[in-house]
Amino acid sequence: MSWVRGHFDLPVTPDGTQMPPAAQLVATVAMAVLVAGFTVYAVREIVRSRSVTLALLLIGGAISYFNEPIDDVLGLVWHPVVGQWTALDTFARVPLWGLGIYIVFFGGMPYLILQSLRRGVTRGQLWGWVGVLTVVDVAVELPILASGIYRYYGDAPLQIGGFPLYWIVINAVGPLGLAVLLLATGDTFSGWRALYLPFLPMMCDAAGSVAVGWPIFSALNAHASAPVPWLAAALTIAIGLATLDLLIAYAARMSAAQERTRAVGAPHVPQL
Amino acid sequence: MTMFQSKAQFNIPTPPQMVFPRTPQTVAEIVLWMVVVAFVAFAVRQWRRTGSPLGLVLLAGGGIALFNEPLDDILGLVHHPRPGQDVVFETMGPIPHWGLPTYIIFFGGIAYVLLLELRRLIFTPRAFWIGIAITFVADLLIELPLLHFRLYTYFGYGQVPMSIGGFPLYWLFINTTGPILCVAILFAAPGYFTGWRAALVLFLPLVTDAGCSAAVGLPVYNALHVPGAPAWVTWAGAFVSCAIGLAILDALARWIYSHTLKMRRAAELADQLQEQG
Repeated sequence: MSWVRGHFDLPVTPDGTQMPPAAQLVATVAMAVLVAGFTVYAVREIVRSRSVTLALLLIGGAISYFNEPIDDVLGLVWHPVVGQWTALDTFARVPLWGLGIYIVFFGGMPYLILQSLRRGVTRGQLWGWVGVLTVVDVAVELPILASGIYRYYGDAPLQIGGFPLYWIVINAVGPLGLAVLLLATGDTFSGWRALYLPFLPMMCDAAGSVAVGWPIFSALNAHASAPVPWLAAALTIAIGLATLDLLIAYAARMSAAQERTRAVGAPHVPQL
Repeated sequence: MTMFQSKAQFNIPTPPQMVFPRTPQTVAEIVLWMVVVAFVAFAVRQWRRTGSPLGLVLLAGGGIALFNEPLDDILGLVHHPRPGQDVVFETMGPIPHWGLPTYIIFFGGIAYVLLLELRRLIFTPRAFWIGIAITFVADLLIELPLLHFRLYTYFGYGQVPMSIGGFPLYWLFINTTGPILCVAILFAAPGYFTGWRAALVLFLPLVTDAGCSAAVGLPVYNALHVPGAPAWVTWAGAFVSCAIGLAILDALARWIYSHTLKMRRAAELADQLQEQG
């Protein structure tokens, strides 16, 4: 394996790779369709409930795309540069098609989970939402990886179809964490404080991904022998599951309390 | 077979050429470890008094949190000179030995002292912000002398924004939010960390430090890595990072305060019941 010897010792990124034009077009259009669907839903929410929450969260999902270059550097993700339709260039160039999935996954999905939390959910049902996030993640990543428009490089362990499984927990903590935060804060983000909403997906995604991913990020970038990345992947999954468990325990308790409050007809939902 | 190449494909600026200064390094290690010894003695004393080893666990957790340093270094552009460095471990780059006691103090010791203070249930938002100011001062007291003696440096493509004495002020928020979140979680959800979950406390300082560092630092991290970015971009990134840090601290203050009020009411109710009994 090759490494870049500089101030930081990073594995060499795949060189000379080209963005497959047809696959890029298909992925970009598919993501645009998904975003359009959520946009229609957001407009419906504004018209029916006078709620701009989903609309602002979708904008926030787009802003959270600033976390993609950070994940790429730390988690060894490579987007071919040649022929790429670039959305952003900070640590590295990241493609336009990814913007759509961020809008949906980190902006739209937390809103759906929040709606469910507000109706009242058990711990089991919340783990079901983690299952939904997993299915969405895998359903998006596996076909796109197969098309060659991006790849995980380095000696990434636990791969199925080029997809390292620890990314499931790295990706899931942000959206669930945001939904729990919005439930816990009640109507805090109304009025002028709604301006916070576009920044919350980015903060939750960045916090979730680095807090959960640090063991595998460290191991992938160290000159470590084979067992180390595998142990780090296991530790990442353990930290991810523990974080999800903490969030779910807290959310289920709040959700139950809010349901009890509604049952006795109290006019205001208490903040826990 | 491992091969080293000299090209990098992510946008990462080159740090200045520096050599680790031997004497300041030794002095820093001795001073910092003496502070650690004091914290350990305090934690042991608390263990004997209360029967809880939490202080020692948090100090160990603070040490483990050092694994976040290489991530912060590459994202926030921090350079630890390689020649002459006492290396404690190496992942994305070598991390110097003096970092270990610093993390034990800042992410373990200070967090523990703050938690004990919160558990006295005399918390007020005003006291919180005074505590934040004290944490900022502690951060500056550690970092400014070390920067002065060139044990490390912050760097970028151009000038690093918001720097005073070589210290970019947005790091106050990046560094402070993690330990405060750690304390807030332990204060507000102590029932969660019982049984087998008690072991999770060991990783809590690292997880909260890494999470807050990424959430707060993301805007300025991105701005610093744009080659040839004009000054207004890096300054805007720095301001947004500070604003996010302030918002997180404000939210944590409200969370801690509401839990304090709840605990106070519960304590008063318990007292009343005891009097009636």
